Amino acid sequence: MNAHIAVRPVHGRIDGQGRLVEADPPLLHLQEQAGGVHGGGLAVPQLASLARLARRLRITISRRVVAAHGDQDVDLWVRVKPDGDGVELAITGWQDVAPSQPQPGLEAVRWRDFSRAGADWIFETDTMLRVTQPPVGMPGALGQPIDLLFALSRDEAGGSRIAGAARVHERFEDDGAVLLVGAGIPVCVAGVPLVDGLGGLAGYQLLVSRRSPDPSGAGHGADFILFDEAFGTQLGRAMREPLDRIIANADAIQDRGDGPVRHDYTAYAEDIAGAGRHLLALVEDLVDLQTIERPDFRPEADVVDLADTALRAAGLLGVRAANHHVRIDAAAPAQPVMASGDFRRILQVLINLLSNAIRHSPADGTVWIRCEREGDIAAVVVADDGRGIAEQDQEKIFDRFERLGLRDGSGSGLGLYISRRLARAMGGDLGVDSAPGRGARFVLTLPVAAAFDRPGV
Amino acid sequence: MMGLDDERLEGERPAGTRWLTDAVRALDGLENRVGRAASELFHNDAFNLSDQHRAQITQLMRALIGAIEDELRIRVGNALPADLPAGLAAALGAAHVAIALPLLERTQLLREPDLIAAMLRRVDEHRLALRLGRDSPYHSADLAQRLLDLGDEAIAEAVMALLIAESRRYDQFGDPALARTDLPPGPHRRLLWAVAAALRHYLIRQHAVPDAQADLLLAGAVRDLLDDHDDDDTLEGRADALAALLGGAGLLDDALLSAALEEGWLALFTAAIAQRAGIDSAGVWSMVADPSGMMLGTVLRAIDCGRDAAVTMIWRIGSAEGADEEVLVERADGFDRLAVRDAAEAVLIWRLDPNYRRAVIEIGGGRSAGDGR
Repeated sequence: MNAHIAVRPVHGRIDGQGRLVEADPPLLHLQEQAGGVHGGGLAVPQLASLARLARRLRITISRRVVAAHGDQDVDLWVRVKPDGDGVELAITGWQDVAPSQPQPGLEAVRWRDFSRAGADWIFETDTMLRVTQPPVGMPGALGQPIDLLFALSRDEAGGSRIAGAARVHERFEDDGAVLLVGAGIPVCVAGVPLVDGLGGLAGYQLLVSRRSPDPSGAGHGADFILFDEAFGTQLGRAMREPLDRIIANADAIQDRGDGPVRHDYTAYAEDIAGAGRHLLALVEDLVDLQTIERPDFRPEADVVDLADTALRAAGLLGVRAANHHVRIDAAAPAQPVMASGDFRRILQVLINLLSNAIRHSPADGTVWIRCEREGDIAAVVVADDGRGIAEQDQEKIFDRFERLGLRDGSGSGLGLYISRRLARAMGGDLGVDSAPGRGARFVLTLPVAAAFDRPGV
Repeated sequence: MMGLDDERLEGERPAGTRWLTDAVRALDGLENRVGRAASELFHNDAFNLSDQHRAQITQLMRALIGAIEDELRIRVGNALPADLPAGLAAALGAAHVAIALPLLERTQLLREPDLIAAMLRRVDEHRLALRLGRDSPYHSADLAQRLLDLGDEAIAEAVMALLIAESRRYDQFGDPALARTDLPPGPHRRLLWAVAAALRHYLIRQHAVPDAQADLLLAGAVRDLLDDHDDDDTLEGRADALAALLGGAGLLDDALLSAALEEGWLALFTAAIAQRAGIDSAGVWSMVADPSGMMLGTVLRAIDCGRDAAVTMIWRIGSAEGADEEVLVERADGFDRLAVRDAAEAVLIWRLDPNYRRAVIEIGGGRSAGDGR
């Protein structure tokens, strides 16, 4: 097709601002297919970069370009000639070609990616169920039998279901397993047999995904061995960097800094950046969770001025609040409210409470933060005028991975859980008082510092 | 070669000195690259590496040693006296018994810089030519045809000789090849004698041929090959000869350089620049292959190449090597900023004998020339 186009070059002109100001119909069609318009920025990235290069180098450039054209690719021979501020485009050899296909060798990688989408970790084992390929961030698992990595469900005879299936080289699933990391992570384990070239069993691929905690699952927590103390750090390092890159690139696409992008693509980029931020928050919270759930975790017991800490937290979140059109009302008290606790951890809790309050506040709403003292208890109150929390949900929000009413991808579902753990570890508590339609009022209590425990001091 | 102090001083030095430093750095970079290639190539696991570059050099080396060994074995076999054991003639005539390569790989004899440089150039040239061809609409010998059409008998003969030499650049699978006859004279002689020495070891140790007899047999065979060898009949030699004729006829213009590069005819492209710059073609090749990409612009400025042609050539080579837009613009700006006189001064060092250049670098004269201290 397009034989007539191959005979006569297709012309176009791009001005100094990169706008397609003249275009023969086929070029205009290509521009529109890529989401651009006549007179708008050149929307075919390959052509736009070639035009920019020719303009910057101030030479005529001729080369082959393959661009997407609807469901097809189009193979072009493009000549770009600088002309005044802009460039002249002449396209010959216009030919529709089948879109390029991924190489067959990538299938395995793609399968792995798809699996990863449904699984949080992937292990590979040998026939003896010893790990031959651990997930990134768990190098210590290499060579370990899976019995040491997971608390597996047992059948009536006391054997694990997985071992039974492995003996006959079958797929297996265990939806009641626990990954022995930190205090233990409830997981589902699906095992897929790996078959070698001669048809024999080479091992298993284990797809491990998180599941909700077993409500009756008492008895695990304290018994778990600490599989790899560096796990949290490794996980954080392994995931933060790629996530940061994903977010930065998605933001760059969204900002259209590298040239015009179709509207639906910017929407995808926004989704990608949002999902990336959510995962990043989750990673950070998981790493923190692992730290605070260690049996030897002891926050510092310093003397901390809660009023000053509250003002600092409010200051740190001022910009975020302004972006959400929310005001933080953080009136300084007449005198300091001195509590015993770990300054860094108290600040963390207050930032979490304020972040939640900002997120749940209506536009033009207000978030209040106040400090007070009652006897030997010092308290910080964070209140918002959002939708509030029904009474039956008020304890649930302190559960792990509970993101009540949040469907916007924000929040990891761990913030309040971690905050309450921290408050209790410092000898205090965190509670909520709310009613639907009347906002929420979170109260962080801490013991008054010993030197200040007499009223009036 | 440049240290931190050199970098700090960069902005304070006069332009000419700075470009000279770049030249020395590029030269040193090339020497280092050859050294690294030699070291990596003979690393124990190097033969098993999947890296295409190393694999191709390894393949070139094996084919080259194998071809030389075959030629020597045929000559020695033909010259064997009747009283030597029959098993020796059979072994020398066997197709699949490699004798020299396993022995030479255990020694330093194959790590000769000029030999490695020749192989590295052949592989780099092959890769670059393929990429240039991919970026060209009509990968054809259009320039060769136009030169033949000039009607100049000497030029036509030189073009045909170069095309024949070009045909030795590829093996039957289209991979790069390096014939013994394409080696520069120095490495050619040394490699012949090294393979002969390996065969001597084999004749004496495995077949109890008397030392003196082995020496005579092998010396005769090597001398035959050297007598038959024409130092000018190499790819580079033929390209230099054609470039000299074209230069004499006033045909080495910017358009010819551009056309040779666009068609991926790198032997002629290199020789043509060398002819215009008064530098040996090996020196020009090291500028073309300079990893920083700045030396090509310098030599093109030194020969007073026009901006359009020069920047197009800088773009073609940079683009074939996968350089991104900012790097290409930086190289073009570098060309624009450089005065012809400064460029000519910077390439002066390349006009000197290669052995002298290497000694200058080794002793450290390049550093003091470069940083002005």
